Amino acid sequence: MNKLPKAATQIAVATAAVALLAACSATPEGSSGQSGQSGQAAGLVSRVDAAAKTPIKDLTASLGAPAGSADTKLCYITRTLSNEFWGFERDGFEAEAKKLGVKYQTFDVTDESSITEQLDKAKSAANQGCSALLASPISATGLDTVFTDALAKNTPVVILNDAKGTVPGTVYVGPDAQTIGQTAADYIAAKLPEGGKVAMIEGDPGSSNALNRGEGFKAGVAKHSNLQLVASQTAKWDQTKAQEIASAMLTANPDIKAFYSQNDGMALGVSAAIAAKNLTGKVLLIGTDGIPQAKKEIQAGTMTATVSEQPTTEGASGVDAALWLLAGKKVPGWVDVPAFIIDSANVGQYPTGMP
Amino acid sequence: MVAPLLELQNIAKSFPGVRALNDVSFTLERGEICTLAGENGAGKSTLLAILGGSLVPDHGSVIIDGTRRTHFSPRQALSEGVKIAHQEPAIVPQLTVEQNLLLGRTSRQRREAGADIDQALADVAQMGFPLNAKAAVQGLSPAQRHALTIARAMAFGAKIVALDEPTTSMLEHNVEGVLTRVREIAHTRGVGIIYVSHKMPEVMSVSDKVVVLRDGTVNYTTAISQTSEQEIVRNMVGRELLAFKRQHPMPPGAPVIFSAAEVSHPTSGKPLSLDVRAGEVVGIAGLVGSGRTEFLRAIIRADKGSTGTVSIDGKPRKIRSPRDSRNAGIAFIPEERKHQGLVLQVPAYANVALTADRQFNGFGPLISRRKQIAAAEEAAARMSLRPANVRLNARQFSGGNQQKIVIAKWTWRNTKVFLFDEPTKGVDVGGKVEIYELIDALAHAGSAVIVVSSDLPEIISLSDRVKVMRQGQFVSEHTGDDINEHSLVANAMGIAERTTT
Amino acid sequence: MSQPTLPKQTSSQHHRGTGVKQQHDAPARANRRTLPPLNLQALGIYIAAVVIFLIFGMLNGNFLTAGNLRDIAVSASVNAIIGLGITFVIITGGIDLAVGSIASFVGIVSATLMVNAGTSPFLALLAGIALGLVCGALNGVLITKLKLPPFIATLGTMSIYQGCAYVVTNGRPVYNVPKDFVFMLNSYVGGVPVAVILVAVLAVLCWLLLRRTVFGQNVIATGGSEETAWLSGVRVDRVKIAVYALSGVLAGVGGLVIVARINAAQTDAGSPYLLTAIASAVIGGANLMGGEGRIAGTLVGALILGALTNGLVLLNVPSFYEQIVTGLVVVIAVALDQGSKGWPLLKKRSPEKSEKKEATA
Repeated sequence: MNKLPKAATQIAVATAAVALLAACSATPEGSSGQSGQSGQAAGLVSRVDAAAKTPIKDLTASLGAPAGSADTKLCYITRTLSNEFWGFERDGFEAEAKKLGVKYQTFDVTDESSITEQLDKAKSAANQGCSALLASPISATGLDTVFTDALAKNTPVVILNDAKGTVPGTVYVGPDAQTIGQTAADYIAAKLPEGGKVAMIEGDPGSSNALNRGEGFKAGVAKHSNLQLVASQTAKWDQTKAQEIASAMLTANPDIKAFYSQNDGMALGVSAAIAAKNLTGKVLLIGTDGIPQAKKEIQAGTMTATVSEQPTTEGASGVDAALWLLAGKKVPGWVDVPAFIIDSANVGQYPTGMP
Repeated sequence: MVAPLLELQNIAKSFPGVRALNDVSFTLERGEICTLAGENGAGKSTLLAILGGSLVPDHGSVIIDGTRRTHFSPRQALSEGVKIAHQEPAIVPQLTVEQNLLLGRTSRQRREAGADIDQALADVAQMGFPLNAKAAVQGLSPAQRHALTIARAMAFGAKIVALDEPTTSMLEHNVEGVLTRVREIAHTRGVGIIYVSHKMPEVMSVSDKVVVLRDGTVNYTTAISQTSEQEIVRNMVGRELLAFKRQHPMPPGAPVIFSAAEVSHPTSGKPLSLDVRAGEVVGIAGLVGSGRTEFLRAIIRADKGSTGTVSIDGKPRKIRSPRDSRNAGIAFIPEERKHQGLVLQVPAYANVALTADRQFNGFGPLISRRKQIAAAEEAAARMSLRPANVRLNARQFSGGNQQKIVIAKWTWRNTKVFLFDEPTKGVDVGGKVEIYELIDALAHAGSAVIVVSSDLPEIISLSDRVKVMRQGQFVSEHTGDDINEHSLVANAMGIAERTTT
Repeated sequence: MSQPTLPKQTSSQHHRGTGVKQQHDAPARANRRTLPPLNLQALGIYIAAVVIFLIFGMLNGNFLTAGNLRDIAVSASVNAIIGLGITFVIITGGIDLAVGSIASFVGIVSATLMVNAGTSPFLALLAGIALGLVCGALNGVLITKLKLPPFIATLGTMSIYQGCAYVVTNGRPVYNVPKDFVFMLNSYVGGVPVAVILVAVLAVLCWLLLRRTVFGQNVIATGGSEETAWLSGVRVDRVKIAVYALSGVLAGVGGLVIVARINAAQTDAGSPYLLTAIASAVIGGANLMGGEGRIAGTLVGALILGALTNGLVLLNVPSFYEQIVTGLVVVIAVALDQGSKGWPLLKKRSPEKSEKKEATA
């Protein structure tokens, strides 16, 4: 019987703890600390003009080359390095940091579903003592708590690629994903003056890139009345799945004139599907990202074009933006690093890597 | 002088608490068929296991073709041409007849096996079961599978073949064809055959010689022409009785408190009825596989598809699961103590409490370990559980003491009927007597007890009444002086009529 | 309540002698405190945890700071919550591969209710828990009534529930989760994260359930020997269904914590937790053969995994190596657990171990 009262007490204590939730706070230090810190952060937040969107070239021209000091340490929380796109993003980040003589560290995660792993690592990174945080969140809001804490401590936050954050004071460096979709649609319209049926291979519907590129493409197609979007399905960024889906689409609609794939990996799968139906060259295939393999396919004629992003430039621009903020300069909320078309006409200018 | 094909010299083998074989010697010649006879537990299976290399004898030698074999492994046994065809056919249903014949052979051996396969298929055909080499075994009847097993054992250069109850699943007219072919193969190929069967007419027709095992020793060896069925059975029985006598036999005029009516188990389907009185111990004897365990399991509805009615104290009880049977006051103490009676990795007291719902609860839904331990200690004390610490895991007790824990699961409840299946299997002699005393005490306290056992001395010393089962049915009932080994064995083997004439 | 049918005194002299002696013994023993025997097998994992924490502490000064330890505890919380349910399932000898999908499914449904249907956070939380219960119970029904092996049944439902999670929002994440909800599961009470308090409460409840209720004893018995439990009158099917339902509930709670942590419901946010939650339970001593598992062990297992992720980040080890290290820890922990069982010095040799197959002729 001695055990039972003890057990009862444990339950009672636990219940009491749950009841205390009403009085809980958003930070370990309690709610009072939060308001104090937000006052401090005002300086940093006010230097970020949330509404402004400026291309990186104009910004460099107006703010001048950034300068770093040796005690500055930049931390970049990236995504999985098994996707080479994030590898280029990191390369740009690390090369620029090295060039400007600041310390840097990169944190990567297992795969694209490691949302909470990324959150845990971002927290670890923040505890390491970073002068500024750069991050490519897997889930648009997944790292918001870390960003809020960092801004509260006057640590600049720069988001690289994918989607603009919602936390005031963060700076987004990257292209407009909707514009990417529109660019692809416009390119197809230019190549198909008579119009025709088009199809889209979507990425993981959970990612903002897939959503925004998709919306942009649909809006773009709608602008051109002779283009019809007859099929659009998700292959969840998977090359094999994209091949299967594209095959099925071509079987259902043999007269598809153009495919838009929301990334190049899936485009490679579509390219194989097109080749299997002996339609190479007869069906347009536009990818996204501009990875090296896609450029080889464009040279070989098995892919028509890709809407290339500039991950290396983005990584470097992220460093610049962070250093500008640390130097007390005003930075727009959106540093635009626009995507552009690479096709057979200009593919020769980008022989290796990604811009 | 040519050495005999097989010579067993002074083979002995013990298991903890049990002496299975104690100085067994005999010989087998080429082309000879030797029947190995004996009751359940006489040591036949142990001897076959030693011959097949899966058990190593404590003493003695296996001599094949004049060469002494030590460290005989199953693989070596096979390469020496020693084959055992077990009672349960060791075949893979998903494979074809041919693939089963080739089982366990390397690809090179398989390429060279063409003639052997043809031979084996011809043998099966001559036994009366023409089989297609490409047919899946799945579609074959149990009799066809058995024939296939026999043919497989006798093909591929077999020298010594043991056939363990090869005809159990066969009908009368099939048996003759099989036995004729077995004799032909033995004589034409010079294969020595050890034949194990409880069917006396078969034994008389097929064997050249008979060796009778009793209590792990060779009790009788003779040429078949020199003996009779009765003579063989007489030599099988007569095992040493334990010095145990029930202190409290059933008092006269006790009322029937348990009655099972038309109870049947899905595997046999034959309905059985049995009434047991308060304080009575009913023994159920019979050969392994005669349906005794199934009868007990059908009473408590352990398996889906059982039917029948069970009444306690004259009132029919609705029993659909072991839980209902438990709540009706029926205990089942199963044969496989470690897998069916106990949870080995939890303490003894938790095992005892396994038959409880809320009886040991303390605070609200929480159990009181104190109550559980107290109940278990009380039961343990009455049964002299050793060691007396009920906090030890069940695994840490010896066989006999484990059995006491299983019994204790039921004694703290209001249990009126105890169904024991092989209550002393794997228990040493001292432990056996303690279990017998417990059973006697349970009966004395007014419970109805049914004991299924293959250990005839056990049945004889415990029971007020004995039922003998054969092929899923009660074939005879014995009381008083009629409870003796000879009459039980004769009825279990179905030679009772012949013995009396 | 209990009416022993066995008389206290049997006629045997031998019996009466020992019987009386036992009667004297019993009260003496009862007075002693009910101390469970020291479990050396379980001890190994705690030592390993302490060693891992000390090593990281020595290699990086930031590791053992209060803030970082709090982060580790928070990051281990989802694994711990889901792992608690898995522990029950593994003790019955089963496996639940659907927990990650259930976490995702529950998260997306609750978030959708709050964001799109305006349900109050508390009701949405209850709805999520109820959904987890239904998903888990369905696993149990497939396993017991359709007799599917747990691996197959939950492999199937893993895909079904994940698919359902995609269908709810067409694969889109749900953002703008109400602040109240986030506060409920991802805030601090006196500096202690709610997720950590939640784990503590759930662990205490799970421990009581497993060790101090008839249900818990039946769970262990079912895993230890299903046939024994069945023949003893345990409703084995009900036990299993309840265990999978519990696993579903805890997976759902885990999914809700994930939503609160990332301020959004992602359609596959739960999937990484399948393997890590199983690993937590296994590192903590749960035996996939059934019958064994420890609540505290699972918590420590989750903490070790959390410490590894955190510590290796602090040491700047790329995530690919982290996976190798995590795998090694799982393998080593289970190997040590197995090894300790065969360690003759640590365990009294049981008489039954040496007994070979009983022979019946």
